[in-house]
Amino acid sequence: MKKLRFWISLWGGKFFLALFKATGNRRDDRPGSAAMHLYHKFLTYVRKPALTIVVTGTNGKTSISSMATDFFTLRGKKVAYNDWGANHYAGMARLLLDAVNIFNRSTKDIAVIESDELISPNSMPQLKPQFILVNNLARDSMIRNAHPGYIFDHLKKALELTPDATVILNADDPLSCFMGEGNRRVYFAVEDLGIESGKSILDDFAVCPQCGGKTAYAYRNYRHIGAFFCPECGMKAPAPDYIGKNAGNGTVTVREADGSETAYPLASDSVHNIYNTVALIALLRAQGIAAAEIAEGLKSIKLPVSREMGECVNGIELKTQVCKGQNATAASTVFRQLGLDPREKEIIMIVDEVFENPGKVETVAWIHDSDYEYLNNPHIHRIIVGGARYLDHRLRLLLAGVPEEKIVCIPEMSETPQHLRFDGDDAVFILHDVTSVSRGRAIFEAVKKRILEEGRMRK
Amino acid sequence: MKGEFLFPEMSNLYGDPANFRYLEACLPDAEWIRTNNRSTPRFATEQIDFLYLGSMPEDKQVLAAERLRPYTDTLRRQIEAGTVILATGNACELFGEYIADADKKTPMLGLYPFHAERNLEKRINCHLLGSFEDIKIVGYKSQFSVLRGEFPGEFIRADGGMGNAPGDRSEGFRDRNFFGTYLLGPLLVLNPLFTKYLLRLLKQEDRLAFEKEALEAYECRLKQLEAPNAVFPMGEHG
Repeated sequence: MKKLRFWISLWGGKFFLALFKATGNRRDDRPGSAAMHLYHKFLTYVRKPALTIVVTGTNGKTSISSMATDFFTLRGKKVAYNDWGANHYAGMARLLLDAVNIFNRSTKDIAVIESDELISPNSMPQLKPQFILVNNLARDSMIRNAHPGYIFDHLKKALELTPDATVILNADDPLSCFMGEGNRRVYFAVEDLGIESGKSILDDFAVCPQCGGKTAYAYRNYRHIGAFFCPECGMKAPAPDYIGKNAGNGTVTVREADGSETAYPLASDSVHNIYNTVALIALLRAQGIAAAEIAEGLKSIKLPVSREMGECVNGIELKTQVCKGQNATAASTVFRQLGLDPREKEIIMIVDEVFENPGKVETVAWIHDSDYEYLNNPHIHRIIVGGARYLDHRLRLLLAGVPEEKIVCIPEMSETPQHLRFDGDDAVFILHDVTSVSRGRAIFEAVKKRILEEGRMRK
Repeated sequence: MKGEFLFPEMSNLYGDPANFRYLEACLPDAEWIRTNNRSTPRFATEQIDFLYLGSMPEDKQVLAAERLRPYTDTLRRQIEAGTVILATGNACELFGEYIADADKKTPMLGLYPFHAERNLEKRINCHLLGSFEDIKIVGYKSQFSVLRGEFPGEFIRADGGMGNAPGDRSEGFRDRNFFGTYLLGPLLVLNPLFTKYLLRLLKQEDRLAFEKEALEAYECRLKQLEAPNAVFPMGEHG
């Protein structure tokens, strides 16, 4: 009976998948959702490719999965990947529907599965991956994920249920590095990047989980990520197998446990992308792929446009960057990066998530948990916020010390480009939520049009 | 005027510390104290006018209760003396008898005969529209627990969203100037009229930092939550 239900779910899902593809809806989870409805254990019985990799953790999942997929594809492999961030059951089922034929035989060499952390105790044992990469843990949406300790418990359980998987862990992340005790563990880290960490209002690792004492860092690259230790009980970061160093100017050097070093290209110099890239390198090296081959492959890999996109227009750097709403740590990382960036700039922010249902009112707890203080910087000339919660952002920016004359907050996202002044700008940044990628691109085009039509130039 | 934030290193979730920071911004000349869980709380040794405790991870609730237990009588005396105390989010659970989670009961401070019932498999998320005296209160709740039992008094009457438990319109509790609530995040930033009320209780001038902007944001949210089509349960994206 189980087998019959599985075959019905497979064929039903394949039928819907073909239908959706034929009607141009390739990036749609509904065929996967149909397969899961027809048989809730679809993920258990659908054949996985010879190599299955799961990428999880709070931040960086989409970037790492996308880069891994590009890497394997460039090597001539057939890769199944949920590339639009569809990291729940339906998205995984959709991915795997596309990785088998109607006889449930693999049609792909590799599955790169971006996975939500909360569902991992149930999904991970069904996916049976050979490799699991946990990039980091941090505060995320309080509504779904509560706090990092809650997510840690879920991922820990997931790893206990997949003891054969090799787990790639961030040795610099005290919130995730101690999981996977029963697995083969491979650690990555990044040496002191020498970046002024600044004072954050967030601290997810202020109390030692072992003794309750006050934690300390030999260095801290961002947020709670760095060489941590507890002066009271001696708890410390695990020794990394792969450690990034000398990051900058488009490259990062990775030193391995045997002392060998290789320089790798970086798709982006931002601190979180340095970590994402070193995580990817550790994942690929753990599979036995030669360092030189990885370095060559990374030369032609870019970040997904849903995360970052840029163009130089009349000398003005125009850039979109994802800045997750409801996720204080992701937003704070972006704000910090903008605060450290010495270029003269204006910023457009469209980070509210609820904008379609007029009856819905979005929580702004996250904006009072995010480091808006980093935006109080002389190099930032103007901050233009568009969206339903514009009055809350205005108050938060004022409380962060941003001068009133630099702030423009309006309800309409689409009107934000009109408020740019281009008063000596080297750059214009457009920060958008993961749910407003297309709106971010539309604003990008509107800003570009203004620069060209008004003949704005970098001074 | 002295304000003390208890255990800010662990009582720091969901934007709750913004409550303390906002009072600091409103009263920059007051003394604002942050007490680590390894230190003796200042309220135990000197007169403190305002005490604050915010949301924390579940394991830290146990640690916080452990640290406060030696000062339970002092806390009781402070409450009776009218000290202004605010506990937001799951910090309010610390003042009941225990937290029940499946078949396990974790003792709390036992100042009041209520308890929390926790289910880590079910997170409850909602907006809240309510009233405290003649002040309309707006806010959010995001919690694994509900409160049941006897409360010293009502803090907020919920007109929209959940009270202390499903079907209960009473939200949080009040005993003299002690306000306990499951509302979390920047409660005082979101509710300038209640913040002014607290400042008056503290015998301070009731002038807020960025008062005009805070009132505009409050009026906007209030209007949205009072609209007939307002949605109180929260979805994945708030």
